Amino acid sequence: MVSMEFWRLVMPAFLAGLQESLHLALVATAVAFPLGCFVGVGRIMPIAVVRKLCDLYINLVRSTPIPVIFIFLFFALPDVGLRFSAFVCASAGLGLYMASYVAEAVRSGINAVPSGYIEAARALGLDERTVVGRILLPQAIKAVIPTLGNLSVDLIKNTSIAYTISVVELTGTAVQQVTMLAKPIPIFILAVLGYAVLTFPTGAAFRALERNFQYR
Amino acid sequence: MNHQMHRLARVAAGAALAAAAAATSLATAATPTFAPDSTMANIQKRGELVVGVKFDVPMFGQKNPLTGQLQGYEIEIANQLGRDLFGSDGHVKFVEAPGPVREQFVTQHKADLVISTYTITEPRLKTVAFAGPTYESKQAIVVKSDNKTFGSSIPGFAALNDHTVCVVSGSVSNTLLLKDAPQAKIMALSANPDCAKAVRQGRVEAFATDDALLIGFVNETPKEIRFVDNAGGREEPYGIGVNKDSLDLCRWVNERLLDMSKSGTLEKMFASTIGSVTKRKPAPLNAADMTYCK
Repeated sequence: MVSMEFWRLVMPAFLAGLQESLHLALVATAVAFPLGCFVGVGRIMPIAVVRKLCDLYINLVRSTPIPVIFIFLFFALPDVGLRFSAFVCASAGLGLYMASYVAEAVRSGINAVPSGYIEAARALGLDERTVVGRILLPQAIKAVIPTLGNLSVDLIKNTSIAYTISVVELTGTAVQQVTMLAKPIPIFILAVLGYAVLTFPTGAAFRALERNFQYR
Repeated sequence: MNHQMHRLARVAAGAALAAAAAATSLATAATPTFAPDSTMANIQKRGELVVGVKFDVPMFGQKNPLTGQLQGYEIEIANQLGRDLFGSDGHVKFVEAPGPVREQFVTQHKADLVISTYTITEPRLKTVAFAGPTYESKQAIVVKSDNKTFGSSIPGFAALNDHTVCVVSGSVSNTLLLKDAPQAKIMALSANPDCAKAVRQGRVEAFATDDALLIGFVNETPKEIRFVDNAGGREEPYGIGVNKDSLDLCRWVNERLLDMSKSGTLEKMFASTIGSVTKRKPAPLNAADMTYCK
């Protein structure tokens, strides 16, 4: 068993790590979702160059492991004079990586919208921007909310990889605490609970969003 | 039977020591003679001394990527032992003994001696006898060559308080740093080369780990980073692994090492390899410290 003293020692750093994980997840989401929507739409654009570029982005980034992206941003870029903090590298890297998945989800959502809607909108004389913004995307997003929910949970868990480039988030904090106190079981259980604290509400929020869209 | 064998071994060992002592007084050119059943005599009969070494640890045992030649402190010790055993060069056969299989090399007689940055530890002493120590390893740091904060040595890890230090997550240096320098800003990465890079790129001031590894990184980019010794570091002895069935060989190696230390040969070998980076001088060997032939 572990003493009260143990928890007093562990908790402040644990909460700081939890906060850092949350911070990382929020910044990465702010990169991943808009960029993913943009690339996903770009992939069905009538302009061939844009389509090809978006295609290349998705295929290239999606097939690169996250640690490689992190190490590239953190260790390789400084060699050409671009030096960012570990946190910036991790949030940007994770955002860029998850954006490729969001883009694929958005594309599949768009494909799920029956072409009759688009044809009807065009027949009514709506311009292309309104067709995409008012008819296509709302239905596409609605179709992919469960997928986006899964991706958000994935993103939260993937923040743990940032510990390999020295971001002291939840996993990094746990590893340091185990190194110091040699009590891996309570510390890693605490880390598991920490991730649950972040992922459970996220999952619940997306389920609520899903219901909200259905009632309309 | 067993008792008899022990007695035989003792007699052989005694004879071997006498022979070794005799050999010492003679010029090294002469081939020493050993008791007929001794391990040394058997190796002489075979014509080669098989030594397990590292092929990838600069300054200790490394295969030069350009020439293919083995070089380093441990290679030089092995070559000298070969000269002492055969009276001439060219009787040492080197085999690569990587970290995880060193015990097998010793216990399965795949090598007569294993000299491969081999730390003498309690668990290993249960299966392996050690001649030496030949080297005392310590936790130390490297910094950028132009670093003004740290001189050539720090008194201990406590000197790293308030500095940014890279360590491998969960490593011995990580533990020591948390304990001795709680105010240090730790950057924990997953591999040693990452930490070396972090120092070169100026992300951290120092990188702390085992000195044998640090020497290798300094050797890679001697213009970019330099070694900073740790005067307060706990010493961990490296030894020469010998099979427990061949304690006569272990004792003979100890005799030879003592002789090399006395004559200054060992110090010369050290200065031209490890010492060129660490600026350390090896303490003279002392028979009282060589207690691992058991």
